[in-house]
Amino acid sequence: MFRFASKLGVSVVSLLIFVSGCSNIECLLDNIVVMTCGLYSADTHEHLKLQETLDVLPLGKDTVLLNRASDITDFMLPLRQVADADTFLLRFTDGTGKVGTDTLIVSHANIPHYESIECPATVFHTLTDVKWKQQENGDFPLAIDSVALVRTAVNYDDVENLRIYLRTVAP
Amino acid sequence: MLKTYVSICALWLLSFAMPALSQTVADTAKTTTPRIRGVQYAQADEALNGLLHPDDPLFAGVSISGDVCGAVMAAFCSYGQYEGAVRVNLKNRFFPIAEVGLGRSNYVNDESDNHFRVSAPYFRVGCDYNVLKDKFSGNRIFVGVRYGYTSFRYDMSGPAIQDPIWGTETPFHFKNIAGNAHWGELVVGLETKVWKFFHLGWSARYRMRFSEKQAPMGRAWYLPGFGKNDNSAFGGTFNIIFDI
Repeated sequence: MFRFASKLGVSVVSLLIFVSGCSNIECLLDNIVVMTCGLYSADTHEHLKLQETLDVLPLGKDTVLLNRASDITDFMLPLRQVADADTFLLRFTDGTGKVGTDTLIVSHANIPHYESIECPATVFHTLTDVKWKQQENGDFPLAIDSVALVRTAVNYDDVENLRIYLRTVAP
Repeated sequence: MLKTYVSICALWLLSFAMPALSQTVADTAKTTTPRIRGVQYAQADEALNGLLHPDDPLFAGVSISGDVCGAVMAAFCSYGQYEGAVRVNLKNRFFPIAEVGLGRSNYVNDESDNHFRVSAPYFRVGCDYNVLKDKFSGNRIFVGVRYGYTSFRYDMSGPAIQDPIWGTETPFHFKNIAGNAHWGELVVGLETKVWKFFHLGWSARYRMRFSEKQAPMGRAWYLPGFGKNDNSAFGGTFNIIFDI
């Protein structure tokens, strides 16, 4: 019995060495960290499908984060990895070319993160505060009415972080 | 005729005298030898063990051991451990054991250039059971269980993280990140007596992680005493054992 068990043991150890020699890399394909913003009607609190076009620009950088988006109910924005707050300019344009620009200010903490040692590191965020500012010319009908912070963790999960309630009628 | 008559009488007397004489010898033997009648064994080897080891004490000794496999891994691989153990022998069947070690890892991943480093102690406690029928042979086949725990601090570093929008860099370099872990093990092993108090043996282990303290930036790549960090892991030891 002992001799049989010895042979069995050698086989088991060989199998363990073989199995332990195998490795696989499990890096996520969806590895972009973005804040998800949903658009809602301030009147009904229901999802709003945007008829006008929306551009989103970061304050302080000559680039466009969201370019002429329409027929959308939500959009995603990247946050800065080394700053505590981001300021976004939300520029609404109607069919006549009339433009109204609101400001969204998001405060956040930044947390470097790695999913696995095989995968490149990235930065997750925890939202701490959100503020908004309506456009100066109040006659443009579409504007931010209020913003709710519904999920503070900004990571690989594409889950709604902010609810942006839009006013659709000029005051 | 007279001779024949005498011989017949002598044989007749002897036929009465011999049983009485043999009874006397038997009675004498009964009073001087141990009473072993009535002890029965199912197997011949059990009967032999019963004769060779008439006393089978509860406490049958203590042994110390070291894991050669883990030490070689610690010296030449990306992770390993220096481990020793103290084991108590109870009736050559039950072996309560305490294992203490120092788990080490210094690993750089080729794909990501991430660098993980840890050096921390761990311990396990548990019990083995010798399933070999002949428990006095010096050879043993074990099955057993363990509970393991480690508390450690690790370093993690890698290339700086690039912000694709703003072009900035976030350094990725952390030291002394605290962590701990609990796990259980199922053990199968063999051991053979090489010389008097010197034994060699090996064990194969299936480990199941019960809980883990995970840092916000990510979990440790290696847990001292457990192996590569996952829900479960396979492991093994090759032991040099000394009875003391």
